This record gives sequence, structure tokens and C-alpha cells, in this order.
Amino acid sequence: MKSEKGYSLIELLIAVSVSAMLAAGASMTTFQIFRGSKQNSDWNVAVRQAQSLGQWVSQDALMVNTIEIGDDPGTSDVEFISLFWKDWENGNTYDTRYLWFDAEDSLKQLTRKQVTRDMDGVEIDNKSFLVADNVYTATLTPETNSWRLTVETRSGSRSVTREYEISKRLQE
Amino acid sequence: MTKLFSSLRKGEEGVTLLIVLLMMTVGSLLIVPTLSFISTSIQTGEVFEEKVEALYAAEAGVEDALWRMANNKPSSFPYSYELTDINGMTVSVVINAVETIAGQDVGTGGVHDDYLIITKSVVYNDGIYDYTLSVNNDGTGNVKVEMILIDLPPGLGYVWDSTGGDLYGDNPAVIGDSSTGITLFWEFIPPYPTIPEEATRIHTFQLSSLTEISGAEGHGCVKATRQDVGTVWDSDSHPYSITAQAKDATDTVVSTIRTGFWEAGIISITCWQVNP
Repeated sequence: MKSEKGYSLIELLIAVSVSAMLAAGASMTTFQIFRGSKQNSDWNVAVRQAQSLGQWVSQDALMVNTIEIGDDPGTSDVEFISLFWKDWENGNTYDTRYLWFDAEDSLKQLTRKQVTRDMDGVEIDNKSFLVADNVYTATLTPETNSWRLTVETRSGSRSVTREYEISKRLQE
Repeated sequence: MTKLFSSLRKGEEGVTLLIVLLMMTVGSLLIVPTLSFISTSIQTGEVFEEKVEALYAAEAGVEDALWRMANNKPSSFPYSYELTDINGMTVSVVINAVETIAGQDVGTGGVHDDYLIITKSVVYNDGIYDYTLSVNNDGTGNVKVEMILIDLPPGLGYVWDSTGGDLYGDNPAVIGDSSTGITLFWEFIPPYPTIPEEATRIHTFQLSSLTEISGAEGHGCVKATRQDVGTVWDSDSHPYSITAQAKDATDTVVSTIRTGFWEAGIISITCWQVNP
């Protein structure tokens, strides 16, 4: 072993421990970035769903003549709210319902279904689309001159609650 | 090339360059999707924000028009104007006199409206409203009644075969349902019922309602003719519409609100449509 060249054992140990520290630091940072990214993504998903429901219900509630809260036993669907309004000039009526889907799951979907009828009551349009996913709870409470919509959405470990106060625009 | 590479690393030791290159590669792989994610989130937020701003701008247009109707009423219709820089947008506003209600042509409001005096009253008793509409001919010469329209709030239904009074009307056309408020429309056929000069005729009918509600008398209008002046039109209040459109910098309409209201000193909004 005389006249051996290369790293001493101490040099090697130092090199290994420094590398191990660097590797541990790098992997922790990468893990944090991915975890942060997933949490951001969950947060964004939850906020978007709550905002989407808030925007659609706020817009519809401004127009209504009548709002019915809860399930309508007259239909096979499970209603969250049913809103009714009309076009004053041409007599068209709008029957808009927010329907629960996957009602048994803790996270549900809300679909907006709108049927338009002409002044003779004949259906002239029928459309339906997904308004919000990942909905944990949604409630609409009537107040003196407004309605209060409270929606809680969840995605992954994130939960978002939003409240909307919607003023009544039409005289009763 | 190999020679150049060999000469460059001649006498060099260590792995710093390799580590730096490796870290830069990993970093660049992470930074691209992260930036793209942030950019998409901001863009989505901006679109959402612009829509909300446009809706509020259009609402401001409607409020401005309602203020004008209450305090500085235009002398002729349609009356159009623009409001600039509301939430950074331009809002076009049109106020118009409504000539069609629930698909029925009611004609031009306020024509010779001093010739007709319309009054209405309701009495509630045990689930039924007794409705009385009085039409007084305050002009000179007989008038012939062609049409009566009553616009009612939600929660009321028409009691079939309840129409009575001096004008001998049959059942009206019932438009809409009680969830949105019904509109009753009586169209008389020639020879039309006549109201002599200075006389009053009453038109009666019944409405059903589970409870007593405010504003159950709704709004009524009557269209008649007089031989010498043609159409005579009056109502207890007059129907108008406001259309407010919020436009962005490229003149694209982002949000529209259309409202309908009755005006008679006070304004009663009966229709509010967002992006109709």
C-alpha cells in the first residue's frame, strides 16, 4: 500500500457526507415544490368551483320573480334551487333549476338546467351544463331584501367557503 | 472538437460544473410548468374580473337611466346616450317606451291619455281578490274600448269565468303562470264596447291567492279609439324599458342588462334580465 495515491478515507467521508446533505436538501426542496404546487392547484380548483356557482346564482337571482329553495317533489331530479322569471315584453318564461348530482357523495356536482317557454307555454329552448364540481355544501337563505348564498367546495386537503349577498332587483 | 474539450478540462478537477449543470436542468424543468400554471391562473382570474366589472358597469347604466326617468325625464323615446369610463368601460344606454307586453301589442303609451282616467282597486277575502278596473271617458265624444291589459305580480291566478262588469268581456288570454306573474289580456271585438262622454264603466274579475300580497292590483292599460282623434291610450302607469350595454376598449359588448318597469311618479321594476 506504499506510495498509494488518491483520496484519503477522511476526504472520502467528508465528500460522502457533503453529497448526502446536498442530496437531502435538493430532494426536500423538490418535494416541497411539488407539495406546494398540489396545494395551490387544489386551492385553485376549490376557489374556481365556488366562484362559478356564486357567479351563476348571483346573475340568475337578480332576474327572478320567484325562487323556490330545496327539492321539487314534482320532478325526478334533486333540486338545490328553482328560479322563475319572464321576459316582460315577449312573454317568454324561464324555468331555471340547479340540480344536485352524485347527491350521495360528500362532494357533489351542481348542474344548471334552463327551460325557456314562449307566451303560449310551448318549450322553445332547453339547455343544461355543469356549473360547479367538488361542492361540499351550498345553501341559499332568504333575507329582507336579499338572498345569501353560502357555498363550501373542497379539493384534496383544501376547503374554500364563499358567501354572496344578492340584492333583490324586482319589486314583489 | 475533442481536442478543444480536452484542452479546456486540462488541469481541471472537481464536479462543481456537473452539479451546477444538473441543478440548472432540474430547475428549468420545474420553472416552465410553474410559470405556465401561474400565467393560466392569472388569465382566468382576469377574465372573471372583467365579466364582474362589466356587469356592475351595466348596472350603473341602468341606475343612471332610472335616475333620469325619476328626476329628469326625457321628452321623447327612444332616448340613447353613453356613459364613459365606468370601471374602464363605456356603457351605452337606451330608454324606450314599451309597446309590447307579454307578446301583446299594446300600442303607444300616453296617446291622448288625458281622455281616459283609469283607476283600479282590489278587495281580498278568503283566498280571492275582487278586482275592479274603472275606465272614465274624460274627453269629448264617445270612445270604443279595444283592449285591456293587466300585468300582475307573482302568486296570483285568474279565476275562470269571473270576468264581469259593464264591458261584457269574455275570459282573457292568460299569459305566463303564477310563479312569474300572469298577464291578463282582453281583446274586444267589433262593435267595441262604448263609453259615452263623461261616463265611467267598470270591468271586474277575480284572482285567486293563497295569501294577501302587496301590490296585487298590478298595472293596467286600456287602448280605445275615438272617431275624431283615433287611438286613445292610457294606463295607471306607463311601461318603459332600459337596455344598458357595457363595452370594453375594443367596443365588444361584455355585459348587457335589460329592464322593464312601470312609471307613474314612482318606478316599479317588473323585469330584469342579465345578458338576455
